[in-house]
Amino acid sequence: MFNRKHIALAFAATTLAAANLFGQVVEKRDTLETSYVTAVKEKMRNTTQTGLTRLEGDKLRSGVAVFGTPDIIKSLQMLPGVAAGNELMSGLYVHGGDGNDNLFLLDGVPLYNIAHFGGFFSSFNTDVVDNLDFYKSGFPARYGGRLSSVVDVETSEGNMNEYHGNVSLGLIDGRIQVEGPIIKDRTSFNAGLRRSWMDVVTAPAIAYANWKNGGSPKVDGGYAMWDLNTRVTHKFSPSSKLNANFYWGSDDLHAGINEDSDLVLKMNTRTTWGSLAASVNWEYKYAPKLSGKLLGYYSRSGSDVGYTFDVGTRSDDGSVASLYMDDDNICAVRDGGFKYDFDWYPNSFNHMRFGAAMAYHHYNTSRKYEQRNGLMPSLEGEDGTPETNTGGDGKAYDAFEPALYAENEFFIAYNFTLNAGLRLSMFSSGGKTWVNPEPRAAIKWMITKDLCSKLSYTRMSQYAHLVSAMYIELPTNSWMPSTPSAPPMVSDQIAGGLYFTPEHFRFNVEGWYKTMDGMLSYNGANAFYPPLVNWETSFTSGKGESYGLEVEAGYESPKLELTAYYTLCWSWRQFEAYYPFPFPDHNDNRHKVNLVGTWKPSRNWSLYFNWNYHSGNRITLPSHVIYFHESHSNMLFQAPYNTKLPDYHRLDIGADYRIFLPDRKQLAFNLSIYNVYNHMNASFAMLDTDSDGNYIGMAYGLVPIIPTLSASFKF
Amino acid sequence: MKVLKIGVLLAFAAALSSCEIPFALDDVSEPVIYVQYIPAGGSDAPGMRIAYADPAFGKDDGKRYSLSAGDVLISVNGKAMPLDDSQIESDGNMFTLRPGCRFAPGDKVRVEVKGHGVKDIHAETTVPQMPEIASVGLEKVQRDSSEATRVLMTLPSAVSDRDYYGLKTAIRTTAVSMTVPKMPPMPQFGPTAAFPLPVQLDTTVSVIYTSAGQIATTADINNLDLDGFASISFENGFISSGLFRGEPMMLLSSRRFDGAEYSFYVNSLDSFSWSDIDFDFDEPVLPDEPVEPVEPVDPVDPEEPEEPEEPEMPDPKILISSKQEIRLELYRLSDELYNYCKAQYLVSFNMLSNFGVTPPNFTYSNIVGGIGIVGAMSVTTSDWQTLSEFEMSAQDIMEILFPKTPGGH
Repeated sequence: MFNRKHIALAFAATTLAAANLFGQVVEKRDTLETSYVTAVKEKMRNTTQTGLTRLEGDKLRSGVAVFGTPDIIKSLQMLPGVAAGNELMSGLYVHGGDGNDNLFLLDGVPLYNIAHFGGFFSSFNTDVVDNLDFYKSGFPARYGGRLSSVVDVETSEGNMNEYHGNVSLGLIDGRIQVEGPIIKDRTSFNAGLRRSWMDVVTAPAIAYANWKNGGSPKVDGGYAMWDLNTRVTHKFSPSSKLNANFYWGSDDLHAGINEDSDLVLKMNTRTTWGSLAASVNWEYKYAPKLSGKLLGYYSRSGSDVGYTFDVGTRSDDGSVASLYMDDDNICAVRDGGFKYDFDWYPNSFNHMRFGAAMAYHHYNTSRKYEQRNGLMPSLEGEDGTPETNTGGDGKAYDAFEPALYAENEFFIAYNFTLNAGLRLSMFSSGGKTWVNPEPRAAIKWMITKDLCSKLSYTRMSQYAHLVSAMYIELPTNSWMPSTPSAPPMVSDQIAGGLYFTPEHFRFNVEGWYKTMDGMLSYNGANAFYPPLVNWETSFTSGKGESYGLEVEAGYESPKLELTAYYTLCWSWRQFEAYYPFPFPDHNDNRHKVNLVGTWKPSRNWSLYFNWNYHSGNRITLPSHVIYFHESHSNMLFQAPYNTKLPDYHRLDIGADYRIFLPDRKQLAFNLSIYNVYNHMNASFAMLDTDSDGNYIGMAYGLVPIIPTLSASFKF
Repeated sequence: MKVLKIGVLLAFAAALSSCEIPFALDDVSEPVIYVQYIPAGGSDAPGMRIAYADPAFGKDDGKRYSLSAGDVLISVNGKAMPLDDSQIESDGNMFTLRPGCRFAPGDKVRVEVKGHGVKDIHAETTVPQMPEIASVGLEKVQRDSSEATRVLMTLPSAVSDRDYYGLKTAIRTTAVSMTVPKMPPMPQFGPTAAFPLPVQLDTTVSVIYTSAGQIATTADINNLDLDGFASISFENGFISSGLFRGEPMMLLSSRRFDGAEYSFYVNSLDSFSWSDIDFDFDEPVLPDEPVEPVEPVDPVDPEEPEEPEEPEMPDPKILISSKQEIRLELYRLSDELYNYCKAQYLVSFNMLSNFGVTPPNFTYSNIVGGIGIVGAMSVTTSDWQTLSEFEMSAQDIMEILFPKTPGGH
């Protein structure tokens, strides 16, 4: 048995191991410069957290680019445990989540609208992204507010010494990024601008059409999206640094037709949506082992959707009698808040993080309309002019969301590391306050130098609800806070796995079990505009359950990277109003396989491929028929999501060719082909009959092969 | 260049042709038992519909099933109800069982049906408490430049989120009309003289069920909350599916109430149609006139085309009084019955249901092992209240009966 000598040796060994484990981190945190990032990378290797993936900016900018634009969300969709939902959209359904339960942080600021062009592109410009951390489970206590995932995006600081930049032109957009010093070695900037140029192409065509028809009717229309990221960094001293970040992204879609003859027609639709985020953070090293980060921010997300319709006739005396309708729908969320985070290494065994956050939310959604019917004399008022109906409704809430958290990662013994924490989240809105303690715990056992095992438990709360009648990203979707009728959502998740990382290889197996309570689902007649005034009761409450297994196998060398991901997943829902028993979720993709590869045969060439496969999404079709009166029949639905669409698969390939120019300049071309073998994957389906009169499912594919070419110039 | 163009066109055509992806649905479902049973408190005994539901995606195998009373067990608060085969009617593959029973609020009803080759099914429900109507108020208002009646129903207390109601609105029209047969001219009494005798008075009573939805003006379209019009057809104890609306029952959750109040408009358009004298209801007419048996018509000789007869104009019918009354039938629905009714409504009106882009809120069944609904309700009705009245004055009646002739008496 053990004697004192053994215990002393064991203590010495664990102390040495702990010192080795944290030594690198402590050492590299002595400065706040680029070594900080290196330190975080080192820490990631040693992290106790499950379900964490870090993607570096360089990786995000390379590879297959749909429409010639690299996209963060589409990169995340390839990871195991993530369902993409509808093809080409920015859906992110993590571990059976609902897609609206992901916390997107851009430089620490929560964003609500993360997509352009109805979901085709994410709002994150990869030119300015330094890295992102993606958590699917094992959430550290410093994160909270969403159930299913955290996407923590950090933009790059500008170069303190030299000016550099990048100009890119893709199939539908162009990008420019510039960085450099403002005051050498003290202040720098990094700015990225992205704008689509489809409207530039369509404008001459519209002008030609108007010229051809003599200006009546006059048509108008166009779509443009753009976003701007800036980051200004100022170093007061080696231990004090300030960052000011600004993001502004917007989409504008408008169309109209105007005619002014005997027929008077004015019809215009307008849709704008986007987000704005501004933040200032100050990083300060109070002591060699204590640093802090203070963040203050303001953000605004919203949309404005409306139309004007005025149609009438001109009488001989020139007067016009018309039917006039104007409608305007505004959805907005404004956030303001601060976070104060501390990092403290009291000794070699402990790494503590603690902090506080306070957020103020203002939710405001409103609709207004105006109607005037001059075509029906019966609707004229006493003075002979048409009566005008105006009105509207809306909902506005103010909410406060304070939070306190503390977590400690400490080395126990025998290569066991424990990260234990607690987040105390609170939410106050409409006179009601919720307090939710959210315990977080993760334990890691380093079995050998290359093999470790991890286990984590997390509880997350979510106080914001997406009011949407559909699964697609619409500008009419709006965010609302938790209310007594729509209480907060809560998830509990256990995850664990084995991680084997010999040189050049990695084999990870991770499983999870997750429950979600208080989920909301729209329970009304489908409409692009879900009801506002009584939005809480237009949703039904239910719960979800998800479990599965993720397998990752990879090989990495300087010239070749190959990764295979496999996910086995079950995702269930139980909404009593739909069905009293559990039923599969819309994105219950039982199997998912992703094969990703990069080959760099030379300095100039990089070749990429990724192959995606997953079991089909689920839809609801009538399941039974009753025959009566001998000739009549009635179709019946038994359970939701009873039908699986055909399985999804596609292959994308891409190639980069770089021309290296003097002064570290670089010209690069990217050819990407989405869906190389043109497999039309099912986007939706309906009932149909075959030639024999038998019922069959008929799915419709919308996305064919898409080749794109883009070019960029780095300077 | 031409080859290139053709190639591009062919590629484009190939891409488009593959947009449709047929797929088999064989494993979506298996044969199950369908049940619709809605025990009602405070109402007549309902029937139960039982059918064998075939998979939608297989061909009808032509099998027709038989059902006996021994296959069905209905228990109320754990006590089995006596059933016998005389209570079963069959209609093709659909059976209607009339157990003949009254239910009280709080009764726990359980239904079991033996499958005979398919899964046995069971389902449970609880008869909800009786609803109460504290008052019904009527108010004439102007909507869209025309007159409408606003009906305000007040319950004794505010409706909670877990309360579900159904509302049927009955409009009873009682009309008295006078039929004045045309008499042949009687020149001996003067060139235009005629005697309006004999006069016949008919009383027609009709009851129609109208929508109790909240829309009343075109301006409401802008903020159309489609749930404000959620209704199903509930008639004789059964819910009809599909677009047919026999007797509409509005579905009311707490969302439709303002505290304890629910209001809706009976549109002036409807009022106009009721007051039109040229009505033709298939409802009982009092007193009932005996209908003469129709003589069989001799086959017409095709060789001899029949002389077209001059159409005989019916005797003029003159409305001399009418009265419209309204009565509310308020149903408190069990949770599962409300969910089922809502799904029945949504399946008809969710245009995007099958696209896979919306929640699956158009399907509901609480039958374990089968399909359909066992849900309960309780019903109360208000008194008849007068919406509008019209009565012709005695002087006007006399003028019709004894029209003044030019230069006459």
